[in-house]
Amino acid sequence: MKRMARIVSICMFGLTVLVPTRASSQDQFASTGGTDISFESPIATITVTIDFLVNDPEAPGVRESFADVGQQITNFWVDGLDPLATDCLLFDLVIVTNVLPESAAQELTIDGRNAYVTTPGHHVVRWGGNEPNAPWPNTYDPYDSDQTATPGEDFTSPYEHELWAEWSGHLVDASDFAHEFGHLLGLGDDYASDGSPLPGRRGTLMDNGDQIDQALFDRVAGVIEDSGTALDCGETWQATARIQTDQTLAGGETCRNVGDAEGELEVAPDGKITGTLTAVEHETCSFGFDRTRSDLKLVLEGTATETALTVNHTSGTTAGYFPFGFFSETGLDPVAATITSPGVAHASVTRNMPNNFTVTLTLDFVCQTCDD
Amino acid sequence: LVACAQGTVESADQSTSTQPIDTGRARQAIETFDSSDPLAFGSRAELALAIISNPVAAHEAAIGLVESSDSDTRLAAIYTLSVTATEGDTDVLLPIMESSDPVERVLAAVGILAIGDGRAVPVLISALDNDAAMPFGFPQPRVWEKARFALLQSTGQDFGLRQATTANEVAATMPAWEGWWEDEKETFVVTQATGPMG
Repeated sequence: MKRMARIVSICMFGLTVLVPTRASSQDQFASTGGTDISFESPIATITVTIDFLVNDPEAPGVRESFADVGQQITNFWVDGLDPLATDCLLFDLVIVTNVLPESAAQELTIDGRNAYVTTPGHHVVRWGGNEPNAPWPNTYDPYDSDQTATPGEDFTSPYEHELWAEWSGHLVDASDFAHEFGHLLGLGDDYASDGSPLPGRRGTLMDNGDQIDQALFDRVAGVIEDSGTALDCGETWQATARIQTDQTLAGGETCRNVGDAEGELEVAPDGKITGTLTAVEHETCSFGFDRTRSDLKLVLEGTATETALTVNHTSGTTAGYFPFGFFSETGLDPVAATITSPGVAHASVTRNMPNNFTVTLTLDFVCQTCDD
Repeated sequence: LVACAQGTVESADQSTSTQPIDTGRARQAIETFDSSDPLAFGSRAELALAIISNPVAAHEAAIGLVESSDSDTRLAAIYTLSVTATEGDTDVLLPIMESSDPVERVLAAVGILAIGDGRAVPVLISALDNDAAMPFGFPQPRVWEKARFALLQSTGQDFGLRQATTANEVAATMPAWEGWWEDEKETFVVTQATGPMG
């Protein structure tokens, strides 16, 4: 699935007037966080809103320059994260940039520490210029007692509050900006206090390199989950089924139909089950009828709980495999496979039908992706 | 300028105004600056905010503290002065360029260069091989990094410095810079790079 990445550039011409205030770390000013996450499996959409504070937002080309920076950051992260996406999780990155005068910001006191804020839900990046005395880039976390993250440790503050930072001409290329942006995703540095890379992290984007590796992909996901958004991509279960029918016809003749089916079921985070099994059917009768058919489809739907996988088949009785009709919504009750041990479920049902017709069904499910 | 006990001074730029500048907050940020723990961003954040929120007050507070006997206070004051420097600060910053501390020297030099005074250039060239740490970032930037940035931003020259990213590579460009400065020092004019964001 191709991930969309986009940047929304908004030029704000009106300034939000904020009432000077004091706040605690629980203050509602910071209730939303400058980095927002929404998840609809398998797409995790990360929206980061940044208010760039500059001397003169109206100077020619300034707004365009910051929009371009946002686009460069987006492209860099997209190019790095896309190849690591799975059927289970992929990221959609949206960066919203506003360019404001420095007067748009004010200080907010948080547990005795001062933050630099504009609007709830907006990170603040003050542009320190390109002059030789421009400040070194720093990201500050007023919600941490040290106002920064320990190297190698990620943090959820961007998803809960607004951070502020100073960026400047010391940032030269897209990877420099992408590194600083990484802090707004909650990523700590991959280098130690002396600047040397942490073990195994040489050359990563959060070191001094430009590589977005599997660990960074996983860490972005980990921070999001730590911030309270589960990135549950669901489960894949391998299913095998046997359906046997025995019938005594008028006159004493008998028929037996044995079908073996297998396939995969996907269990979504909300418990919804979908999947298709492929069956081979062998039918014999005492009067000489003998037939084998293959590639018969059994479409299953249902619901998973902590204790059972309950399914029925929705492909009707016209699919060519008549016995399936006996555990459909229009036939008998759905079949509930009890979870007998972690990642294993089993069902065995025998149903005595009218006209001396007996249906026996066994279903076995084994989870392919479950941790426990 | 006279620092008042109450933490206010009369600004040179506002000498006709009766409004004193409250330097108390900036003064406190400078005096409490702590460079001992590279991961303690608290005092660094306070200093940055004091400068951002009222650069005039920060500048005035720094002027009064650049000769502090406390090394961290002095360093924070010089840093503050370097990022808020105005043309009137040359007399304060020039002596600091002769400090025994390479961090103080380079901070003073970038401040002077930012106000268009080329006398900072040889100080910055000589700093290209200095690996002393500066407690204003994480990891702490090195003196040679600050000098490299300032030279590239203000001279219009390169001599391989832009491509040089390690200490050794940067230091290797020194002879070319020294030769250039020998030829240009009488006529040098600062050429400020605008960068991507103006």
